[in-house]
Amino acid sequence: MNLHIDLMLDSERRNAALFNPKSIIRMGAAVAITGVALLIATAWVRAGQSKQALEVLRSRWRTLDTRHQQLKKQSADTLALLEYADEFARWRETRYAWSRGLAQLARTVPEHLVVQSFTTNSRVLKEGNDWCREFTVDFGCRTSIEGDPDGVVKAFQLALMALPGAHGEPAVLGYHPEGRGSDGHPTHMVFTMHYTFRSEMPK
Amino acid sequence: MKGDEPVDRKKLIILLLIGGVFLFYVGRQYVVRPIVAGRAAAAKERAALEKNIREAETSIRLIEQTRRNAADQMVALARDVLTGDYALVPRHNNYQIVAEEGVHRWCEEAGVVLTRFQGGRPESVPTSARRTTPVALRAYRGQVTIACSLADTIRLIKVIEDNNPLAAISRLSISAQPADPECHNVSFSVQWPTWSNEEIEASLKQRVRKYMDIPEKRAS
Repeated sequence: MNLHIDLMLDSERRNAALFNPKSIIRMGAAVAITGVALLIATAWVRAGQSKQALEVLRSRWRTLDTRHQQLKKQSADTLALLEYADEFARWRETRYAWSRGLAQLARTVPEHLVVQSFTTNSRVLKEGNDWCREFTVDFGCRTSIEGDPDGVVKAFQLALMALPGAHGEPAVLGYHPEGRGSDGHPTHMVFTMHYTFRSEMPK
Repeated sequence: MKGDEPVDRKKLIILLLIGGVFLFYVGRQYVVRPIVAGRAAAAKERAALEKNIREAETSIRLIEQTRRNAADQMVALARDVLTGDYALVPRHNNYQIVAEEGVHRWCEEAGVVLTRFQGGRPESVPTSARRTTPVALRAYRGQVTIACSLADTIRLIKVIEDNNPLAAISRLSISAQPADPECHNVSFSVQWPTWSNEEIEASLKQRVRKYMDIPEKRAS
């Protein structure tokens, strides 16, 4: 009869197997808990970073929004003031520098021609996208019948056409002899030179 | 060994499973979910903020560009609005007296004698239908009659043009006097801008000063 005496206490018992299932379970549990804890910690850290980045964005937005609101208010003011600026600019644009224009026209009058009257009128025109002012000038003229009155008229016409902005050929209206000399013949020719020119509005 | 008993082991496994499920539920509900929800909300807010910032930056760029582009126009406006003599300001509602004084000053400066000045009434000027602000200006036209040479006429017109860049000369007429070939009868219209009303004048001056950062004039 074989006698098997087991004097070991339960706490002293060790599993003789290479892998103790209990230890594996404990280790697995520890690894799992550590893993989960790590994951949660990472998530917390990332959430914190995200919160921080968000706070930076919020702060940037607050600064930008304040400036944007101020500028929007100023922009409305700018647009309103631009309307007034346009209104004043239109005043300037409707002007024509008559001091220069008149001197220029006076220089075109040929010798042997007397300008007895000068009247102007103007209107605003739009050509494509450009605005301009069209002037009509009527010169009341007189030239001696001696010499070459036709040549004088032609010279005046050509001089006017050579001016900047001249529009079309100046028209000679009412060309007729006038006056009576001692011999009973007319002494001079009178006519009206109708001239049109265009002046570009300043941009 | 107690735990090694099959019944005990089963109990332990069931207990562990129940504990695991409980822990999973608690973790999911109170740890993972809030974190995920927080991150989703943060991502949503971040996207919205980034969109708002982009839009605001674009808008600021455009506004600043408009301001830069408008700089020259604003300088011209400030000069036109804040220079006292450009727009005709009536004295006790009388435009003619102020206009005539101005014409006298110009004639004096040009060395020309004013024969006659006839004033009119302020008139409305055509304006764009699209504008959002009230019209600031009206036109006041006066007829100037002088008797002088062409050179004097040109000099007088130059004096007017130099003194008031907003005064426009129109309907110019010159006719010779047979008795005095050097002296012509000259008449022309001068058109001044005048304020639509005093409120617009005051408000526009104040707004232009503020925009251009020009300090208010203090009454001495």
